[in-house]
Amino acid sequence: MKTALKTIYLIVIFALLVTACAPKPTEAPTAAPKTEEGKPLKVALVLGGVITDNGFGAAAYRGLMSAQEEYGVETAYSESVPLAEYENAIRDYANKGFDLIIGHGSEFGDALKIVSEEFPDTYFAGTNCFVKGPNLAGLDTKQEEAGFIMGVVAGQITKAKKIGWVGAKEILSMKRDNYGFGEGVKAVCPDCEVMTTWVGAFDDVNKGKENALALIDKGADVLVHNADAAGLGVLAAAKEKNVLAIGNVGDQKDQAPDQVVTSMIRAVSPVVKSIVGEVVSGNFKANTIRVYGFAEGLYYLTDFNTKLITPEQIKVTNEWIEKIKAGQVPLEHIVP
Amino acid sequence: MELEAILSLFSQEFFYSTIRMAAPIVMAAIGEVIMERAGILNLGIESMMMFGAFFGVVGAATFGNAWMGMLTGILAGAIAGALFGFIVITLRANQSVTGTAFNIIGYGLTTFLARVFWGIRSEPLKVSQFVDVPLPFLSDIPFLGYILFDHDPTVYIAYIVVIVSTIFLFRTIWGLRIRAIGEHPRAAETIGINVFRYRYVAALIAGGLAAFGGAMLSLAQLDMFVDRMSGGRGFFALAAVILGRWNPIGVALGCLLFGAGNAVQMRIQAFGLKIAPDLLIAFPFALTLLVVIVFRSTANPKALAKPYEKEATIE
Amino acid sequence: MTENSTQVPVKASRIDMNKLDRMVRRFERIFTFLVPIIAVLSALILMAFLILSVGSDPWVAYQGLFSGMFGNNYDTANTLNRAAPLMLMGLGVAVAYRGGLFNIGGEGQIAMGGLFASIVGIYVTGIPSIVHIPLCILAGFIGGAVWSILPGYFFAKHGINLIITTVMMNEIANSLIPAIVKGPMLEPPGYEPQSYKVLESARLPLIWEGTRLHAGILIAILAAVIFYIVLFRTPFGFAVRCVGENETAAKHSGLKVFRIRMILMMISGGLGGIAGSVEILGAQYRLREAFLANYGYEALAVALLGQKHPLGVIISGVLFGGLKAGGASMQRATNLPMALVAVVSGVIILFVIASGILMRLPRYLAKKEASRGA
Repeated sequence: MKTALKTIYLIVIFALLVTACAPKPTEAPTAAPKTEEGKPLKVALVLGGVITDNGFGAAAYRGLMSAQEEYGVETAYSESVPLAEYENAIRDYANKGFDLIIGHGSEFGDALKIVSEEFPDTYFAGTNCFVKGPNLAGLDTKQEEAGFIMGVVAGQITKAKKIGWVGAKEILSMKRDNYGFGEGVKAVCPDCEVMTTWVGAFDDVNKGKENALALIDKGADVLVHNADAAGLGVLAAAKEKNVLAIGNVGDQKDQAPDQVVTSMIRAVSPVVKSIVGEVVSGNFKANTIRVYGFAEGLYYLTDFNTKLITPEQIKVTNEWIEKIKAGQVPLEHIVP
Repeated sequence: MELEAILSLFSQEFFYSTIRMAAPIVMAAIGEVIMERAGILNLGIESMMMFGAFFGVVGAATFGNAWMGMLTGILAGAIAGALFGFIVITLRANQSVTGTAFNIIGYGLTTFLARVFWGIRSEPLKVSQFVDVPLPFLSDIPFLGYILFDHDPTVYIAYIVVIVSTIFLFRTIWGLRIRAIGEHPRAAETIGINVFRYRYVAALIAGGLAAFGGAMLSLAQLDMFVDRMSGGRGFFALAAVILGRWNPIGVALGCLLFGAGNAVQMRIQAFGLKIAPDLLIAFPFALTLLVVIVFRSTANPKALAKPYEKEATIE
Repeated sequence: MTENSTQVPVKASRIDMNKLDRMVRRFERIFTFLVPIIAVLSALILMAFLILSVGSDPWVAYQGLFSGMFGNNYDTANTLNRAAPLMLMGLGVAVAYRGGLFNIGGEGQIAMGGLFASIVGIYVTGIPSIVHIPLCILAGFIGGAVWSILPGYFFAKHGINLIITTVMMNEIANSLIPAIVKGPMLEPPGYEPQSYKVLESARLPLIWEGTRLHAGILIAILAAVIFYIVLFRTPFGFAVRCVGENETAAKHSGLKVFRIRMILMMISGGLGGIAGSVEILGAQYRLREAFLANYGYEALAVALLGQKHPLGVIISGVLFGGLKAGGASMQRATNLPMALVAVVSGVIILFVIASGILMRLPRYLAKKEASRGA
């Protein structure tokens, strides 16, 4: 039995040997535009989830790609990074000479703060993070606004005065969306009821569907979700039971063409692009938390399915969007 | 009012939902019953469900037909089962480690292949789906008709599999042999039963059934594949086997209990009570734990998870 | 295996049994060195084709993998940091296995250990490190042990299969921790579901200048040493091994099987709890949900690849820690999807565990040779 132990020991030795023998990787030549020092600008995105999550992560990836197109920067991403590896992933990119490293999600706050202090010449940004520093930008997205407008739409199109809202996990960004949604419904339909359920997972699409069906069973005739892939299940339920729904994060009308009234686009692209732009132009605004919402172009609604919503209702919705943009809607922003 | 609210939980739709949520787990768990009865512990059910879900969609996309998709998925699951069998039966590797490795590979490979096949898309590929087929006459039974007989064909297949596997295990010579192998392989060998062959057959069936369950998630309940969509159902199938005391009907009841727990939990959440949703989400698991403790299911196959040596003289 | 090698059945007198035995032993020694290397190599070659098929360079990928494991001091420290909780939980699985208990409840035990350790680390104030750290670790041990009492009791007393109870306990812990970090332990103003950071006095010291290596690895090694002494040098350890090898015989020889199993299960869960606490106290500093996701299941592989022997667990723990650290680095080196990296480590585990059969080859051949001689 003891001999078997030595074997594993050998594997480790072997690994060391290969490391010693392995050649250093050569940097691929690149046509990317140069920063002022003449290096190609490199941007890295670090995600706790995956880029194919049909939601939050996918939006960030689209943002990264559009920044690549617009500014021609070199990009890299790390997905499914476990909690224990956040700092290492960010530090590794910093060590590799990346100029801007974006942590996607509030959970990256701590790790960004720590690593940004170790690398004063590298820029860091965190989506939904309330951290700041001389080289660190927190990017606050006003989830309440998106939720509010979805609530305004839902509150007008419901006939049963019962609306179902399905979230993935009860985390702050989703709670803000949920809160805004409730306020939006109240603004147009004070006696409407919002029923909320949480799936408990981002990727369990079947469970998302069951949650939505349970809400339909309890009388909901409009479904709204904020649950990434699990939200696809919500739309599948809407399609199956023919109740109205609102898409989220991306344009989701193809999921249920006769039920999706409109989709709330959360274009992370402008956020990523603006921060990349700041770094490219060398005007990085230090020690601020940037706030994005309707007015900044982060959120917008896709074209309405006019078979499912009246022009009058569209008009009311647009009026509220203008009010939001003008800052005339009192929503509790949770900003330090 | 309170009582009314509680009663309103148990609507027709509630029972319907319970059956639909239980069915994929039933399929996977019955495969595991057969495998464990033959003495093999398969911790890798989750991976086989993932293969079924993924290759089911691949097949449905290729042939444009949900049934062909289902067959493709089952084939992929059976291959995975055979591979699992090869590693634990012929190569006699530790079954738990093999199962754990299978799960790591199952999640990884399906996610990876989905990207290779379909690219990084903003929305998953849509394929043709099983549609609900109400059974004539049976679905007209008041209350129960809708709950039991207004599903898609895969659920009816699940009913049949529960009955057939019960008969197979307890009323046929093959079933008897499989059980003998799980209890005492050496004795089985001495009366001329080929232990390896039966274990391979069990592994193939288990892989295929787990994949069937997985494909139900992607093809019957939905029309798409999503990364990691099996969401831990394989582990519950493992638990359901024990809850049902290695008996297909018991296992099906165990899965129904889990489905019901989930259906109740979702409806209670909608009340908007001041209970942390996370705790409600754990309700089905706590319920299962309670039931298993109260009913104390024991008596697992004696040779479970022990590799079999064909010739005793080797050691 | 080795204990039995003298019993190779040789009926013929023409073959010198001692000579044959020596030969077999020599071949076995060579094989034990060779086989895992071949296994890892074949796994890597197989995976190289997969990497090639998506247009990446396998050499760059593997270079990323190995440099992430042991490329420099910092990476080595990272590997060891990942290894520490895996080793501790692996020891927990191994100790239970020795007594015939299959503990797949690591996920829950790690989580509860982390919870208890962070409660003590955050809310117990005004004591020096020398007291605070051991107190936190003790709390972590208790947390893991508490979470294994119920499965342990119902297995030891009523024979209820551990798989079902531990899997359910895992799921309950997976929901309980988020509820706690969003509720009573939430750090105001609540941007993120996480607790306060543990106090400075509760944090494990960093033990390698210029790296993030914390004392968790020392705790793991200490645990392995204690494990070894208790299991192989004490009457209790002997009793444990008896119960694990033959329950009925152990009962007849008057051992208190129930008590031994309860103690074992609690030690096993407790080690898982320590695994969770060293991660919180040494690396992450605060409690968050799923802070060591999947370590409980991977510890099964760590324990069994390590032959349930403390030294083996340490070595395979380093290997698995390395795969975790190196896998992430490989992904960053190539921009391959993380999923592919997971496949590579899964295939390596599979090849190593399945290659065990090759170790029997010399004895098998010798036996064949002997029977031909007869």
